[in-house]
Amino acid sequence: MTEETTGGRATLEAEGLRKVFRDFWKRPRTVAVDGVSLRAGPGEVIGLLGPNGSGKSTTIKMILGLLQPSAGRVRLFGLDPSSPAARARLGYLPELSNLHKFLTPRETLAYYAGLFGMPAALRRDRTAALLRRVGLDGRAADRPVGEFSKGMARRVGLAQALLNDPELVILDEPTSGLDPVGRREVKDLVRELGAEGRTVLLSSHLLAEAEDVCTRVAILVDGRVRAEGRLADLLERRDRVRFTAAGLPDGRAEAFRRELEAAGATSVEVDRPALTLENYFLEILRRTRAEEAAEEAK
Amino acid sequence: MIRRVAAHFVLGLRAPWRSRLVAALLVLLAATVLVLPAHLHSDGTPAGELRMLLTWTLGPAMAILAAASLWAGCAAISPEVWDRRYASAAVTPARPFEAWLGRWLGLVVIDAALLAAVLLGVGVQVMRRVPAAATAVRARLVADPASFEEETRRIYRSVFPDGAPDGREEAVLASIRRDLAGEAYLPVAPGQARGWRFLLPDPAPEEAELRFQFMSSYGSLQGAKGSLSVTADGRAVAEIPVSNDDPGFVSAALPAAAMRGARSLAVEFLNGETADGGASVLLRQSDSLRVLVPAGGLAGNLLRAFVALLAPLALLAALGAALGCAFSFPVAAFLATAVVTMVLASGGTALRESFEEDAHHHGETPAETRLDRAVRRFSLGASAVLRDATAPIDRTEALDRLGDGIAVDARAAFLALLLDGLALPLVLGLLGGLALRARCREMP
Repeated sequence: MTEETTGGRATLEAEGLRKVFRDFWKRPRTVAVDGVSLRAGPGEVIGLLGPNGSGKSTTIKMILGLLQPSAGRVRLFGLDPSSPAARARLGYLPELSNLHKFLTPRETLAYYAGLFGMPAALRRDRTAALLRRVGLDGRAADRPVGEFSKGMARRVGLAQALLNDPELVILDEPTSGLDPVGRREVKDLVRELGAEGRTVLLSSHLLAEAEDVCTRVAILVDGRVRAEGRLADLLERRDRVRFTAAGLPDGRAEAFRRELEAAGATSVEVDRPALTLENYFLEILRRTRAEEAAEEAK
Repeated sequence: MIRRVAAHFVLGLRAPWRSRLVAALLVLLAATVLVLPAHLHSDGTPAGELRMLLTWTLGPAMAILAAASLWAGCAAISPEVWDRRYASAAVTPARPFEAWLGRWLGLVVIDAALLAAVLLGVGVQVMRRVPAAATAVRARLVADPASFEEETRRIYRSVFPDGAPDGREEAVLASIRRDLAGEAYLPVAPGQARGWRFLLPDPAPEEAELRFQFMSSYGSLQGAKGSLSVTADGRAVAEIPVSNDDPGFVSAALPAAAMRGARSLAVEFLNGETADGGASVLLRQSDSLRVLVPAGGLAGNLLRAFVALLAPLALLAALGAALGCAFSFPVAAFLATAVVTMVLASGGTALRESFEEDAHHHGETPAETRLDRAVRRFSLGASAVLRDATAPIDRTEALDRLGDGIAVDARAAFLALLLDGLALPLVLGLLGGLALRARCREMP
């Protein structure tokens, strides 16, 4: 990721991050992250991908100032990540929300709003808007979080991460615990955030979801970046060309394949594109709801 | 900053309430204040009933509140850091010290509410069971600071009539001053005297009571005799005999008319025993002799006691919260309990005396190794620091004075709250904030 791609106004700059965990006697025990560099600007949705234990969460914590890097440096908005000025513009959803179980969603958001120094009127308005946005308005807003399912608690965490209208949003496994509908909503939300000009750093081990929303990805394995770049560039297969057409009569497809082979193409395949399972599932849900609504209208 | 602290403060109020800690405390305190007195029996006198109600209910209630404050403080932040719940708060603009401050203030408000409820319950019990006359509160007259140095010199002259040998006069005087200011019982040999001088308020009190407590060197409360001479600005007020029959305690009313217009009241005890076989009388300068004057009613005294008793609760909550910022809850609770135990042990002279006795065991002075010396210096030093840090609280003597019907000194109570209830906690909070900041930069 270069200065040209970020337009020269980097929201997040991490250079040469390295983290070595030491034992009680300060002997090096594990190199969790080794030489990770990231740069992101407004409107970018960056995916930090990798298997479990690859160093994603460690990298995120160094970016947030929750872990001191053994080497390298981090700047958020040109500031040290632990500075109050940087943190006022930052939203964070941790991998494990771990909210206060005895607080309701409304009280949880009020607490964090207070930590951002929001005046009471703004606090009320934003709390109500965010609870609506994550689908927790109504009676759920006043039930203790301890009574919630994992998915509902995650929604509270998402609302909390957006409370201060952040310019940089860091989401660690944001769809963890959510059902397919919830996952789609989160993905739509992430796209919206990017479209609004915010910078989103998203960590996930669910590749399909990252593929749907990210503009750039960095793939971590064993603490090192093994591949990074624009998603379209990384995934493009330059040795193949695909045509997709609608309204072609049945017999013509086979004829078209023979023409391609005569032109020198090899391994020509002709098939019908498929929906993703998620899209199919959501389509079934949509149709079911529409039928139920029509029955009720009768 | 105020909004951020307020957010933590509200959470600091909600957490103990919704975890049912406050409910459990209310049940325990209700049992202590309402049920326990029904099973205790006093000596049948109004004063005894008052002492039983005020000491034997408030004492256990304060112990419960103190333990709860300490451990609730340890639990205020520590579990959130341990289970990583604090990460979301750590990446907001709120500073670690603000987190400590808000949570501590929440605990102090809960402590204040519970303490007020306890004092109110005890007050109601007293009004129901003790005649109003017996609940009248008296204040101790304040000793004239100049009289302290006079007594130091008098004792020095009685021990070294010809002066201390080898130019050790200042060292001996310093030792005597230390003993007079502390809790040491100093002997008054047959034929010798000990004096006190008190400042009289203006106008002079309408009544006054003199209370004299003593022990004899025979190791009992009896076997001593002498007299107490009371003068006001040099004018004779009373001559009170002390006889072998007195059970270590003499109480006498002083005629108010004799004190009118005077600025100071002097009392001198003369040991009337003969030198051959007569007992010395053991006295403590700070409280063997007290002059008590009327000082309002029980309600005012309970209010002053509230201020005085809130100080140690606030300090304990601060200590717990500061240690909770640095350690996990079990470690913080253990360390906090250890520190409190050290403070309680350092309150007396036992530690110093044990080192001195050890050094002179069987009349020998065994060689002290460097480790022994280091341990002794550390122990005495730490003990002195802890004792000095909590001295403002000790000086209020709130529970003792309440039980004895003596006014809790308002100035001492206010100073205790200011120094030990606010200033020292804020220092602990700064240390806790630094510890929390360090932990937040290594949050795995």
